[in-house]
Amino acid sequence: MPVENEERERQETEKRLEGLLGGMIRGRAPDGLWDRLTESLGPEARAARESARWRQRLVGGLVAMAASVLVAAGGWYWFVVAGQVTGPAVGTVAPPVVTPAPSAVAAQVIPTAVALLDREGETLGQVHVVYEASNFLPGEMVLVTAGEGYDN
Amino acid sequence: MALGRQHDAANEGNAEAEDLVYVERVLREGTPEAFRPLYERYKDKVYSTAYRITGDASLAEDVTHDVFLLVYERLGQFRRRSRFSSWLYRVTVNRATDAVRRRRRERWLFRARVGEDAEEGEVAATAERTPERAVEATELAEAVAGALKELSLKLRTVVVLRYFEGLRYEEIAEVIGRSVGTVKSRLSRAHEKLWPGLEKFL
Repeated sequence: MPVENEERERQETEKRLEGLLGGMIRGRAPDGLWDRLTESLGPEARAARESARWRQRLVGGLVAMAASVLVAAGGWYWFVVAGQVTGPAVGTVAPPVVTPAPSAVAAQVIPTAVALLDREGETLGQVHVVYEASNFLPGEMVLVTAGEGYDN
Repeated sequence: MALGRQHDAANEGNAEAEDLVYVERVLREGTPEAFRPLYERYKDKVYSTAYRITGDASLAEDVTHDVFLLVYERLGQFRRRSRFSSWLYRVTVNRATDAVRRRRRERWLFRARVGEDAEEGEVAATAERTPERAVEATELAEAVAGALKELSLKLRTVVVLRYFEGLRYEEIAEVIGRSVGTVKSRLSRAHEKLWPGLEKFL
């Protein structure tokens, strides 16, 4: 089909979908949400979150270290590493990221979490990296996927 | 028509300028009350977007809560290189997508543990919890929910932003960090998948 026809067809479909879907009623945020939000913004809740973030950083570091040891031993593992984005992006890493194992694992997991930022360097929150090592031996490849800050 | 577009553009420009005034106020006063106008302006848009992507009212509520919490705490990091609304949509899309993926992982782990084939049902039109049903149960709402369920997260996101939120191509491109060409191409692919389920309503 010529390009102009394709474009015309796309525009026609869009108009019909706009007519159909654009008129649908928008969901309304629940009434109690503001109260829940203000509670979360209170000093106690903020302190609890900050404390949880530090715990996550610690656990993330420990898991990364454990990962490098376990990976070296081979076998089948799932690792979940949570890292906090702390600074501007040093480069965008578009997952899935394949890293060589095992030597680069510990060095790659946390930097990957930190690098998975919004492209403009505006932090979007915590980055969770699920790290799967499946039946591999030293020198094989490891798949790292990201929960947030992922490639859209 | 052209006059109407100029009018829309003017309104959009005003809304954007107002957003920045509110942002400055929050940064200056640093109180939840100062944040409330931004919350009131965008709460339904954020909730609706989250709901359309996750297909789950309670998950959408959690996402909406988390989005505003994050935006309030990180407002100082908003660098004004994009519109405030684009930044907010971007955070919403990422949070909602993350929530869907997390739930998939949890279900996967659950299935692996108990050996059950749990129901995926991401955008299923669940009985009384969907916004449509809260207002009016319709065949169309169910068809739309079913059609959205068939789309991948990437395609679902552009469809939600385009048709439910009414964003322009350029805005969607800004939100998802891709080119306008990619937005159009994803919409075309989405049309093909949406067509069978919605054809009779079009």
